[in-house]
Amino acid sequence: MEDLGGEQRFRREQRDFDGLFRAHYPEIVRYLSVRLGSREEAADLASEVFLEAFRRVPRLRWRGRPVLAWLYRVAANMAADSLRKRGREVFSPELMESAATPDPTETFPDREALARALESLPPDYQLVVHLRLVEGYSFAEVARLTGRSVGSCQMLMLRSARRLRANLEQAGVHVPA
Amino acid sequence: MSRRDEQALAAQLARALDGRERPEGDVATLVTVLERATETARIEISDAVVERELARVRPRLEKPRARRPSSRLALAFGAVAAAAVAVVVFTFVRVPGTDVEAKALSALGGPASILEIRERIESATPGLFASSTRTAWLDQSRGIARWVQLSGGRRVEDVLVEHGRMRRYLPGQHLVIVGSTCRAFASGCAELVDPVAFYRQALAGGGTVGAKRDGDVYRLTLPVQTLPDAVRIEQRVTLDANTFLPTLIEWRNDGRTVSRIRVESIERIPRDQVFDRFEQRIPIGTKIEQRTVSGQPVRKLGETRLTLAQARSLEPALLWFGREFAFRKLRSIDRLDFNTGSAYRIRYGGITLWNFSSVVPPSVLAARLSAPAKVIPIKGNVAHFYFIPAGMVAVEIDRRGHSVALIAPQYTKTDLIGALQYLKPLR
Repeated sequence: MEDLGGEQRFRREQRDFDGLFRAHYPEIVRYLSVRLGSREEAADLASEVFLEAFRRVPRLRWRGRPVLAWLYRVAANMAADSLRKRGREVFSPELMESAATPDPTETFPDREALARALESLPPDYQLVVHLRLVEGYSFAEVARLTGRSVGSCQMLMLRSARRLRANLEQAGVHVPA
Repeated sequence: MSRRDEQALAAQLARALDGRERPEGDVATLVTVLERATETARIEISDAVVERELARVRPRLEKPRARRPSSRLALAFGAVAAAAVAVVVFTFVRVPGTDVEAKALSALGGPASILEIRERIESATPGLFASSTRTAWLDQSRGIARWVQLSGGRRVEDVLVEHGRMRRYLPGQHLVIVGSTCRAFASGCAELVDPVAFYRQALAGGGTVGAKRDGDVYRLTLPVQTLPDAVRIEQRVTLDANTFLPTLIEWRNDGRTVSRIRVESIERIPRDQVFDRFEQRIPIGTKIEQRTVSGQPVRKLGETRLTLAQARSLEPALLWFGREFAFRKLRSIDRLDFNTGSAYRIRYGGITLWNFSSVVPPSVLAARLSAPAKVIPIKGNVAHFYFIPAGMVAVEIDRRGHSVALIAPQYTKTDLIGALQYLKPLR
């Protein structure tokens, strides 16, 4: 809980746009990269999220949740708008290119299928998986950022894992035990 | 499955993901699926990229410009403005400011001087924080500063700043916090700047606003400086009119005085008498916490065993010793993911070779803090040697793109120098 900070950090982030940007831009880009399937689009949209933050964060009222929770909510809404405008849920190989080249002898080879499975999760599932496993927040912190209970976040994680496994099996990808 | 069973399974999965419970059966599969599926999403975004994007966004934050005046009007306005600037410059900078400022800077010695300063730090608002005393050592030419702060007769912190990197030892908490910038620390940058160093920096930067003689002292008001965490500090400094050394530095923020630093003494130390003044003594067993730029602790997210093919595809190429080294076969190549980036661990029996850039592996960090480094030039580079109390030796060398550290038990310094010569890119 301490990592996300309390009211003091909230107030500081309200006043310090550069600090807010430096602290949270990378994770917002990572989150949007999965949502949008494109790192380039994610970077552009993340800039829009922070421009909105510049306009609105100074007027936010402290309600016990960090500014970061607000940033994720705005990012999620903007991503949904963007996907709606495109009218399609995309998968882009771009995200894959940023990762290491797959090894044909690997026992769990289908990185494309893995990324596709992650992108196909519902947004609230994706957010919990992203916060806990990509950014490394504890379940207590994830709960605070998403406005859910810890139990609810853990349940979403379980459902995400099952859905990922089902999607992978459907795609013919072997999941080792 | 009942709702209660579902909840129990979700909690079991959570414990496995937290590393508190060994996953088995179905949970083990789910953990594997989750970890592998999120691998592709762990994109590293460097500080340089963040700064570039911030610079790209910043112009859009500015308000739209007012309509430009006509060129004739602009010329007339320009002429008046230039005259006004000339008057202002003459009034505030010409005399006596420049002379006092130059003498004040000269009193602190040139860039090569090493200073020992004793300060007393007081809150401008009585009772806001306890008064403390600080002894600071500054070596501007080497970019090193260290200070030890005492409060109530007890050492409360020992800070070492070396080329911008900071190491803050808090004896009361048995904790060392390491960060690449003062923005990484919860206390903010104001507490990680020595007031005299900050004052000298302001003087060297020029632009003194005012200097007034008041009996035996001069009073300077220095231009507002912005710390890396955007806190703006205005300094009001009282100088002894005879020595031109500071006796009182007041820090003001948003028009309010926030702290007073009484400078009790400033001495120059000959370079050959510095001894161990810039060495922190950190007891064995002290917890070490590495912080990201945003101030969050560096956290390990996961560990992945790489095949040789995967390791070969990395850019920049890892450095390794080949498939065998000193009769020890290559045992494993692992990528350790942290929230600030990844580090690569290559094991040959008991010898561990690390490749890293944005995150320092914990065992290397522990070696750095356990004893002062011995610096040895090696073929156009320098290697840092650390002797770890556990009987191991570590050597660290910076290469383009990343650093390499070798931790080896029962190796001598000579062995390690020899070993470094066998490093080659993993292609």
